[in-house]
Amino acid sequence: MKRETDIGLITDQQLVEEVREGHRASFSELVKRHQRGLLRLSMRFMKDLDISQDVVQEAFIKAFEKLHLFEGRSSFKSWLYQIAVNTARNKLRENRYDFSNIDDVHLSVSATAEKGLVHQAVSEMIQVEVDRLPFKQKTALVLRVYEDMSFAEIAEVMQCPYDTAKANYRHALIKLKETFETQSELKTWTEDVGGFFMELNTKFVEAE
Amino acid sequence: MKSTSRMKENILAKKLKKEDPIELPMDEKFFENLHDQIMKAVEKTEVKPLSRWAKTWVFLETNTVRSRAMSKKIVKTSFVGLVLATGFAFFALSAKMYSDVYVAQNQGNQTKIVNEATKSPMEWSELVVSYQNENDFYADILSQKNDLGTIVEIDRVLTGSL
Repeated sequence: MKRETDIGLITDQQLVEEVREGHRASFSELVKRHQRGLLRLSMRFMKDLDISQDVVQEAFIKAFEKLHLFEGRSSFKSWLYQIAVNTARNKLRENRYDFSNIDDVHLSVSATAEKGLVHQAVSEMIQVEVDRLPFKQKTALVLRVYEDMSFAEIAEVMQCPYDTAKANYRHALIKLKETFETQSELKTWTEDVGGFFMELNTKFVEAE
Repeated sequence: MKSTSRMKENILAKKLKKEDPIELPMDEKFFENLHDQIMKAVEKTEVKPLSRWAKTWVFLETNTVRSRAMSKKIVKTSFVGLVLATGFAFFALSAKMYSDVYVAQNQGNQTKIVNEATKSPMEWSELVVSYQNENDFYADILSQKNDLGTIVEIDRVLTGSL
């Protein structure tokens, strides 16, 4: 009983040590702690809940199998995310999923007049553009923007130097910015909903 | 300009987050099932002890990653050091060369004058005299003559020439 109340206070590193000592149940707590984050991350790459669940499961199994290789130089979360990102990439390579059929999105925009649907379509277009980014840039962007990770953590997940992680993130943003500025649908949408280009322009003028 | 660009990027990042399309199932049951599924798979998983070769491979791999990062740092630092040292060396060398040339030129001129004067003192004295102007000439005469008449005469000539 005491163990159950205290388990929230135990760090990931301590749980890892317990698992190494043979307490498989401690791994259950690690799963509970990280399954949501991992599923969210996988969804960003796979776009499908079932496949994302497979990625999460595979990532946890790999983590369990290779736990003795975890040296604790990075956080367990970073290490786990690193495994999940690699698993997702391998799955994408194996299955060659194509999520970036932009023509479908165009059709849905022209066919719908309602603001909500237009908004949804544009949101999908944004995601299409995010998906079109090179894998490393997308990973850096996803981890930074959606997972709120620091560049140091991103570097750990991506197994690259700090500056490279930062550069990947910046290149991703620059590429997106350039793409959005040339897409008429996104511009129209931003005018309709007072979106971010208006805001960007205002801020730009203010700053100038 | 740079800060404006950064600001634009930050706003873009915020907007991207706002437009986050990922919706996770909110149902606790879903995550309980996922957890059970994972733990079931983990229960079946056997952690095989690493073979000797695998251990060596892991050891080498870990060391390679570390040493690669270390050697990158060393190369970067040495390169910067080398560039700085080369720059400093060039600066020092050019300063030294300039001072050497200056000294050599001065010494060379002096030696040349002495040599020329020793070779043909008459010619040299004429040459030196030729550099004297009119006033120098009269001043020389004045220093040789002491009588007042000559001085008055010279003064008259000088005033006239002016």
